[in-house]
Amino acid sequence: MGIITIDKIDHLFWLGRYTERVHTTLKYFLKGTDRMIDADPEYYAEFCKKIGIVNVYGSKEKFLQTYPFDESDPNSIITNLNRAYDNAIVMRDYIGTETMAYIQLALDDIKMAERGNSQSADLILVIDHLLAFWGCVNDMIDNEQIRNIIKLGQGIERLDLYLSLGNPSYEIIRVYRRMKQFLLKSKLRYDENVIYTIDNMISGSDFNYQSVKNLLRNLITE
Amino acid sequence: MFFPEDTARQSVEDVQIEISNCDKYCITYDNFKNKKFYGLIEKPHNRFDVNISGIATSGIDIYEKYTNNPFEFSLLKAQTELTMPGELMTEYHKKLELDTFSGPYYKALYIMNTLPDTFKYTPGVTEVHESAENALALGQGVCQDFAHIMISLLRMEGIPARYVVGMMLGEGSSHAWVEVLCNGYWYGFDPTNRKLVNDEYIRVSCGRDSNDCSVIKGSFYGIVTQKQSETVTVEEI
Amino acid sequence: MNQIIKKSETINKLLSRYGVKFGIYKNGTFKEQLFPFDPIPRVIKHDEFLFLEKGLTQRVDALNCFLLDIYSNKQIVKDGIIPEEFIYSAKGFLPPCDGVVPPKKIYSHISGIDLVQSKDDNWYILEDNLRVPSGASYPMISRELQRRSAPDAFSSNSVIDNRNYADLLKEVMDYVNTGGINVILSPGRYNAAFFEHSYLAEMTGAVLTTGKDIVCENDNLYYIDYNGKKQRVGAVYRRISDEYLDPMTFNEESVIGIPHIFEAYKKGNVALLNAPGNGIADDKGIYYFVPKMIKYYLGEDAVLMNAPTYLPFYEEDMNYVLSNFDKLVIKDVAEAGGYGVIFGNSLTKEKKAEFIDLLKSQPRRFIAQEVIDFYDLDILDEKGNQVPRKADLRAFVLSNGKTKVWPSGLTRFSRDPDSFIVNSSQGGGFKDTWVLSR
Repeated sequence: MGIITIDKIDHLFWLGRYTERVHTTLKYFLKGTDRMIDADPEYYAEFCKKIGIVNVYGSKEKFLQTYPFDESDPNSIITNLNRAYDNAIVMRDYIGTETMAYIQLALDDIKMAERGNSQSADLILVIDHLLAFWGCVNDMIDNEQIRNIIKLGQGIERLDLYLSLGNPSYEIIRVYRRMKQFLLKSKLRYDENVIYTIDNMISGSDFNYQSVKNLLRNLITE
Repeated sequence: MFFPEDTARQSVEDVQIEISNCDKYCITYDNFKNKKFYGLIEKPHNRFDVNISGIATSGIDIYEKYTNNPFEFSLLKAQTELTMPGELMTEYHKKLELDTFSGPYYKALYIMNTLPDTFKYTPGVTEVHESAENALALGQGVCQDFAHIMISLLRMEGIPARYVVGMMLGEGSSHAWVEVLCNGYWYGFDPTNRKLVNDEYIRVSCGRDSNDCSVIKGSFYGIVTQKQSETVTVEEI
Repeated sequence: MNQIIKKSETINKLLSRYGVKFGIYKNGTFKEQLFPFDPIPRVIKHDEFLFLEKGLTQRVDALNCFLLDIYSNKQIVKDGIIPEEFIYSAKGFLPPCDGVVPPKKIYSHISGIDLVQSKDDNWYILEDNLRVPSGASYPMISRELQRRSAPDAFSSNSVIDNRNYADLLKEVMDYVNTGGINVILSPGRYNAAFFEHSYLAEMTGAVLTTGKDIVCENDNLYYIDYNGKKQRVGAVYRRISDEYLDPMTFNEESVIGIPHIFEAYKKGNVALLNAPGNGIADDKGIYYFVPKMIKYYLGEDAVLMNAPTYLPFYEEDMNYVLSNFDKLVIKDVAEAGGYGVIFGNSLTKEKKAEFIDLLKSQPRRFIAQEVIDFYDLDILDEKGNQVPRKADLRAFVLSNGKTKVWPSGLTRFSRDPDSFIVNSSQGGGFKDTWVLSR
């Protein structure tokens, strides 16, 4: 047990990425909805631009209804959660039914939130269950490499999103350093030059986010 | 991939197998005692060639003795998906009035001699594994279809018959014919050429129908368009 | 039992939490849905289970003898017990399997035998499933969740624990394993029973694979990890049908199988559970002959009865079928999953005449059976009322040298009051099956 194949690495890695994408974009979405209440009703356009998706929504109402809940929207939160589920279900024997249940619960939450009448409040449950999922990954998966590949995916996704969203550089550096630890422990093949270059870039006081983003794309060579 | 094996009719020597990108393969036999080799190439490649050559002595005997294998006997009497008669085959069978001939040999001979009168040789009309019924409906086809129709008719008579893939003297592609169990011996009939199988024929594989006998089978991972070509050369020495 | 009914909502919630689903294709798209669970268990008393156990063990033993015989000497055909028409022209008879003896001579390692109980309290065998019977995971996980939701129901009822199914399955895999790891071969995520494949992999510690990571080399099977390291595979619990198992031996178009796996199996280098070629033994036409097989191979009378069955192939039976058409159920031997089943009295006059013509022209293709007066089981309907519904029982019999009947089973029921069809693909649900220990 615990033999890891290329396919399985792929699923674990993307399980990490998609759960993180849901987590961070949802948090950012909740902040954004607050802003759209009175301060800036048109903020959704900027939101789309920042996270790098096409603004197909046209109105604030449409955005609030579609972006979290519409399974036919390839960029929606639920679509990303479904992708996380797709990667989890094929790894049941590695991550365990108990751990998987939290992805299922997050999916149930998001559907419940769509039907309910206080969507932002209800969506917090999704975050709760994702945190429980990661807790379970830490707690219940004995195989270190499996854990680290999931967390590597999570780390890369978070770094990528933080760079897009323009988070402060100290946060970027922190997330980057954590990701690097998982990269080494995951035993996956990667391009050492990329790490070397990023290390150099971030040691300066000012660095270009877009360049780091571009470099990250070529990090994993597996 | 199948390749010729020693039988009562032929002996095969000096077999050379060359496979591109691959030096490992296994040799195995299927239930009809057809000899084949198989292997795996793990490295990515965009071309795959197999070259087999050898010397065959044919016509050692005119027929092969039946080995009293009840599996073969009953199985080769049963219709398969490809030989299963429909309306047209049933009608054609009735018209032939095969009960006027005594014994499998004469029935087979009559089928072989008359089939080309109703069924024309035209390449490219029928599918790779076309059923006898469909081929007859089209009224034309290739050696495979001739063989399937003949086998279907024989099995309707309760006569065990097998599909044979092999090579004929000259240059071209592989050929197919029929072997019929007559009084304890397998006789070869070639309905496409209206000819009894003789020393011009080298057998590669045999089975219930063309599905059992595909000379080469393979699969790969990847999304590509594939092209396959085959050349058979048989020369007298 | 009331304790369980009261907790039915909690149980359903847990079933959903753990994703106890099955997949279904509707209008060409794949959808997963929860497998409807009914909280009222089927209860089998201890004595009754002992009786069933005896009958099922005997039946599966005879079927295993039959498979060994039919792919070697075919003595049963030579001795005239089964006509050869029922063997060689059956879709389930696979010529490549002829002469191949599986490890430890076991063909059907996991058998799913479907039974029904009639109103007069008799059990009848409906059909044998010796290829890839599915469904054991559902009662297994539902029991776990019921115990969590309604513990008092189990402290007071002496119900034999059924959660050992994975252990039994692992024992079977280990027993036939030829030296290597155990894997579960699934067609993939979009298979109806994928939940079961992944759950059984988790519970048995076998590796779940879709075959892409497995290669056959030098007549051995290997599982390849991301470093290219190869690990030998000793047993494959395959959940894909024979047809798709090996494109080089069976259906050439298959993209879900493992090329040349059959060669490794033929050389005795890997065990396949269940063995390829088993379709000949659970063929609807062969079903008729199973009681004769039991007599022939074991010298015993069948403990469990077949539903009274007629083979139009025999003239006498054809006459009976024609004169009693309206009270019989006719089954197409080539169909499965509740399809191809016709109730004689349901046809219009024209359809009936049409069908009888077909029957006369292809007598070998059909079997006819007396309609069994089912003993209905109560289920809880949407309003919370107990209403009777048709139900069957799939018993799981595992063979690893010793033949064992799992003390539980999958009880499937029809949600439609007028339907006899219990298959999940046609909207049926499931119940837990309690076998009492005293």
